[in-house]
Amino acid sequence: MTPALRKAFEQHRTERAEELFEIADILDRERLTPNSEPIRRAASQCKAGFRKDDAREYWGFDIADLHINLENQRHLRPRSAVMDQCAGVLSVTVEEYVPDAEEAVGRSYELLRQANVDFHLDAYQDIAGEIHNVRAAWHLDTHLYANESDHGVHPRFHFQVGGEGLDAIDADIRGILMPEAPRLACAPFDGILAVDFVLAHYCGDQWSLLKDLMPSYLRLRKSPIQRYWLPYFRTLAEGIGNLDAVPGGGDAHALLPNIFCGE
Amino acid sequence: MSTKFLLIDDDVQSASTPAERYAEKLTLVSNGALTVDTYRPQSIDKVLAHIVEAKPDGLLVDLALTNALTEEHVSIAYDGLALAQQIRTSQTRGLRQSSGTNLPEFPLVRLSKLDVIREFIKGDTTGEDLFDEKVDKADVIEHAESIVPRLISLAADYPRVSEYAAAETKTEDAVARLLGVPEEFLAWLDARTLLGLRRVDAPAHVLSHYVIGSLLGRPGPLIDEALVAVRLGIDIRTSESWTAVLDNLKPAAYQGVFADGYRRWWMPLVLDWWATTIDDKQAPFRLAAADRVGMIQEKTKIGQLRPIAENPDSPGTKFWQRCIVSKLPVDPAFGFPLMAEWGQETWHDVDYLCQEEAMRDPRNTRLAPTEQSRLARLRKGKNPA
Repeated sequence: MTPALRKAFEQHRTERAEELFEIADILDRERLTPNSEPIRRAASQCKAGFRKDDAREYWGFDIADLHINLENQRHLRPRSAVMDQCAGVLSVTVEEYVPDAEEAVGRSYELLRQANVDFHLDAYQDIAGEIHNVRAAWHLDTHLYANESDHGVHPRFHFQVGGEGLDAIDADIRGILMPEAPRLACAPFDGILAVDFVLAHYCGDQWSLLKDLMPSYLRLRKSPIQRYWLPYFRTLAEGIGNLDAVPGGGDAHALLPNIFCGE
Repeated sequence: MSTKFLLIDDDVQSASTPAERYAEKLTLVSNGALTVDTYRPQSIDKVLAHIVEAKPDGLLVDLALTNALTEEHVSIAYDGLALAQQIRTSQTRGLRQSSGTNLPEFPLVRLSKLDVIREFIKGDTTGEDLFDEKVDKADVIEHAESIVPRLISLAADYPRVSEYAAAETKTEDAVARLLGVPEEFLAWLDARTLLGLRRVDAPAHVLSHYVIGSLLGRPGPLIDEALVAVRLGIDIRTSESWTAVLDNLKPAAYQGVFADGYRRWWMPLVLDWWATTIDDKQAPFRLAAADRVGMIQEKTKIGQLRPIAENPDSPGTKFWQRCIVSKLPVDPAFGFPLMAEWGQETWHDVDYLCQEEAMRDPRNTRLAPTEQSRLARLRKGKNPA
């Protein structure tokens, strides 16, 4: 690694750590979490040593079991579910390969090794005096390569409801069937975007206040949106634009294999 | 060379409960490393003059000085808090003026009985920051060997803190040297962690109080031995090879000021050690205690380690915190986080109650409404996690 690359790369990692410390601070100040340590711990991991898979070195962070205080949800099913004063549990793993050139620093989407997000929230039903636990769970998975096997398409980044997050209540599930499909193609999340997604969807009032009254919160979201989503959507747009010339979608194929499937 | 402390106590030469026993106990268990002399306070000027003459490396100050008399045989009109304030003022003035009774900077340790603390201070925190450390007199008699290293390290490292305090700008290099870490490591920490060390014009005792109280005194970026064990999933009491694990963890050990008296480990470096030595795929907080221990044994070949056993009073297996009341390991999925208290910063770890202690104290005012609601469900026999 050249000194210039090392400097740029370390700056990139420092900025990611600072972003995480900042979102942790916001969650603390707004009392959106009882404990921001999972994010602070992840922030420190940003500066830790490299890890290595078979081929390449990578770095990353792991937000494990961050509790987020949720607002009461409307139109719950089952209707009898009680989720007063409920916390959702969010876990995020982000791993990026070490860039090999200075211009590749910060091109996080292309360097992503993993961007996994798991979320669940627990509630309960009181049926004739007996308590039944109920759970909602979803996750965002990364598949490094498109998989067109019998198991159905796996967009490189996909959103899926259910999954292993429901293991804890599997034996109690009645009346709902949850197959693996569909795996909805989704732009990748880092820690900031994952927290923002949960706040936007489950804490609407607080989220509106944050974006209206806290410019720093909006600034915080901008960086991962630009690093991850701009190239993601650009790849999709180019894939669609070039369908006549490249029916298979080129780089976009892995992102939406069920769309870009031409020969 | 022996470190010299001076104990200022109104019970010096007391017939019934002489303060000399504390001095003797500390001196005795130190094997010559520490000498504690005693002094019975008179007027405050006399005390200051005696300190100047005795040139101690540090002071132990009793809180209640009710039995002390002036030269005129009337009760002295001040207590240990007032004396400590006067000493701190004289130390700070000594840095900035050459006239008057000025004192060099040295550590002040409050040495008092718990019942006296309750009577004199109760919830009054205004005098908290005058002392670098607080010691219960009963602990001196029962656990002097754990107190001596703290006193010696306070005295030994105070000049380093003074030197740092005297610098007009707190450079990254100076901060790093004070904390005993490479400069690059500072970027691993939340910038707020270091704000207390970047204060311009803060005298040594303010900085020292920050290091001992905030950095070393509460779990956060630095954690103590008991919490290291919890985070590695190891039961210290039944693990004969625990010290071998600590030897492995040396790269994560805190080596900054007061390190000899306060054994701590940098949590980010403990995680880095885990990723580089044990497993780079799964962080320890993702694993059950038994899995953590199994992996440590496999990678380090250290035997005689036992995982933290499951405990109905503190359910779960992914232990990461310690209950602030029972001291039991706590799996955050089952424990009850408490709202921050006075002096607790956002970069400190959140305090936890284990399930049993939360059940015992459901009206704890530090339980957030969300947690109270969760606790209420638990008490009704609903989902505890």
